[in-house]
Order: sequence, then C-alpha cells, then structure tokens
Amino acid sequence: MNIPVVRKVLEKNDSAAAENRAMFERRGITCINLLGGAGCGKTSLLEALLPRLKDRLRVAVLEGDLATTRDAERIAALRVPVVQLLTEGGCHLTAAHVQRAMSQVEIGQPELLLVENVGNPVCPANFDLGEHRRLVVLSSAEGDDKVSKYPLLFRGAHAVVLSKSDLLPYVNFDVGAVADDLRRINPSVEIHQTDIRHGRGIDAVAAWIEHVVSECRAQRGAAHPAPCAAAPPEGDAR
Amino acid sequence: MHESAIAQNLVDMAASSARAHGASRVTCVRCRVGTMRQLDEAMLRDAFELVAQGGPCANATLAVEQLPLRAACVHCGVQYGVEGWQWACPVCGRIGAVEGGGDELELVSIDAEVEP
Ligand SMILES: Nc1nc2c(ncn2[C@@H]2O[C@H](COP(=O)(O)OP(=O)(O)OP(=O)(O)O)[C@@H](O)[C@H]2O)c(=O)[nH]1
Ligand SMILES: [Mg+2]
Ligand SMILES: [Zn+2]
Repeated sequence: MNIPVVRKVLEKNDSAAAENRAMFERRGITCINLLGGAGCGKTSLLEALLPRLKDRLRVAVLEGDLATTRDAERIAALRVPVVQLLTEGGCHLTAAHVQRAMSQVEIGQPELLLVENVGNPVCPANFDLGEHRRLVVLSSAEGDDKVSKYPLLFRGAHAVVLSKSDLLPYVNFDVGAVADDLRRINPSVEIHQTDIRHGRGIDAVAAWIEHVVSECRAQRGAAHPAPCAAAPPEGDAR
Repeated sequence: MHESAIAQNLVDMAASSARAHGASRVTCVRCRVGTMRQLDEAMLRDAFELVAQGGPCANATLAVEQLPLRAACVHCGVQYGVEGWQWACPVCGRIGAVEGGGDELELVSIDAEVEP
C-alpha cells in the first residue's frame, strides 16, 4: 500500500529548536548562531568581540567542535562562560546540543548567547538551533565564488562578516562582486568587513549584535509586558 | 556529513508511519530534496541502507526527487531553475534574482506491506 506522509525530514530538530526558542524567551536570552567554513575566523572574531561586549551585556559562548577543546580554551581565557560541545565526528550542531548545554550551570543566565558552530559551510546551515539571528563569516582567503557555492548558508544569514580583509592585497577576492552575489540571494543581509590583525571593523559588528539584543528584548517586552521587572539573576562569570 | 543524520530521520519516520498503518515492511521511501541542501545522493543512499539494516526499512528503495532553486531574471523576466550552480539566465546570460524553493527537505510517501 502507498502511504502519503508529507513530513519535514528535520522535524525532530525543528521541534527541539522551537523548545530552545521558548526557553530563550523564558530566560531572556538572545541567541546568535555563528557559521562559516573551517578556519574562516569565527573564534578570532569572538575573541575580538567579547572584550567589547562583556562589559555591556552578560554574555556566554557555546563552542561547537569536532574534537578538540582549543576554541573553548581561547574563550575561557577571556573570562567569559563557555561550554564546549563536542560533536564527535558530527559535522554540525543540532538543537539538542544547545539544549543540553543550556542546562549546565556554567552557562549562568546570559542575555546574549553566541554559538560557534562547527567549521563547515554546508551541513550546519541545515540545522535550526532556535537562534534569533545567523551571523556568517566568509574570509577573503576562501575565494570570492563561495556565495553561490553555499547558497543555503548565505541565504539564511542575517549578517555576513567578510573577514581577513588585511589579506585582500594578496588574494583574488572581489568584495564588490561578493556583495552583489549576497544581495542577489539575500537582499536584506547586512554586510561587514573585518581585519582582526589591525582591529578593523569589529566595533560595527559589536554594534550590530547589541542592536539585535535590544530588538529581541523589545519584542519580548511587547509579547509579555512585565509590570515589575524581576531582579536579574547573578551574572556569575565564574 | 549531514546525509547520515537525514537518512536516520527518514528511516525513523518511514518506520513509524508504516507502524501507524499496521504495516511491518517498507519497500519504498520517497523524499523531496531542494538542491540548496547540497545532499550527495550516493552518500544519502549508502547512509540510508546502513541505518535501515535490521528494521522495517531494510532493503527499501529510496526515491529522491531533487528540486531546484528558482530564479527570475531581473533583466528579461524569464523564470528558471538554478541547476549545477549555473546562476546565469539561460536566455540572456545575465545573473537573475533568486526567488525561492531549493530548500525543501520532506518525506513524501512510503510503500509498505503487511507481512503475513
Ligand atoms: N590575517 C588574518 N588572519 C586571521 C584573521 N582572522 C583570523 N585569522 C587567522 O585565521 C586562522 C583561523 O582562525 P580561527 O579564528 O581559529 O578560525 P575558526 O573559523 O574559528 O576555525 P574553526 O573553528 O577551526 O573552523 C587563525 O590562524 C587566525 O589567526 C584576520 O582578520 N586576518
Ligand atoms: Mg573556531
Ligand atoms: Zn535574462
């Protein structure tokens, strides 16, 4: 017999992501999923952003990695709460990974949760974590043909950081052409350029993140007008 | 790669749908996949075969329908599917704006049998 089904293949992950979204609303957390290919500069960007963000917001980080804890150690060195998620060969984070991490005490009660996904331009883009925004990093060293090669990644991005702009004189990376490709497949995307070596462009990315946090906060306020704000829980940065 | 996670979900969903209909053996699983998902069909089949072993989907065939990303040329208005990452308009050769689709990922139907 033929049985029509018509179900989303990733419905299990989608429903875990919906639970995460509800949990984020309850706990007042804004979550940003950081994606991009291996070595595009995700951890370096976090290292540059966190000193700017951590004085203004309670921030915590989830580090998704295949095997080592090196990226988490780099974040912990900045005295920011971090939980390492080892996917043990898995090429992407799932909503369940985030769910498990958020039940750990180390994570505290952040207002901003930055999730560094596994370095991979294909798989992670398929898995909703329940995040509010996606920030995608593309480095000039990777080449300027990547937007059309990884359309799901760039189509789902709210902002794109073109990283390692200090390398532009040495590589073939036409920033204008990349921006055109991006706008073609994702007309509303925000585009930033960074150079970690000389500290360029970081403030603009930090400002975008702070703006996202206040947008999400305003949305939550509109959804549940709170007559008396509960005292914020202790921002225990260990 | 994400093929194995997707194969596992397909097998689980097909098996539970068969069970819900009192069937015990799945002979065919049909799914619809947008090309933006960048699933490697050979890898998906291998992964499907592996995770199906020993369960109701063992030896079932997997039918995959690939759906393109749709584009509309901003210059001449022609609508076309982006195939093989050839983004250019097949009529005027220029690159058009992207419209939608290509991100489908659905189980569509299964063929199942009640074993005697
Ligand atoms: N020249 C230059 N190098 C950079 C820049 N940002 C990052 N890098 C270098 O790029 C390499 C990879 O950076 P990471 O931050 O570890 O990249 P990642 O995306 O976190 O890597 P994975 O987590 O392994 O996928 C390191 O050697 C960094 O020093 C930059 O703006 N300019
Ligand atoms: Mg990293
Ligand atoms: Zn045309």
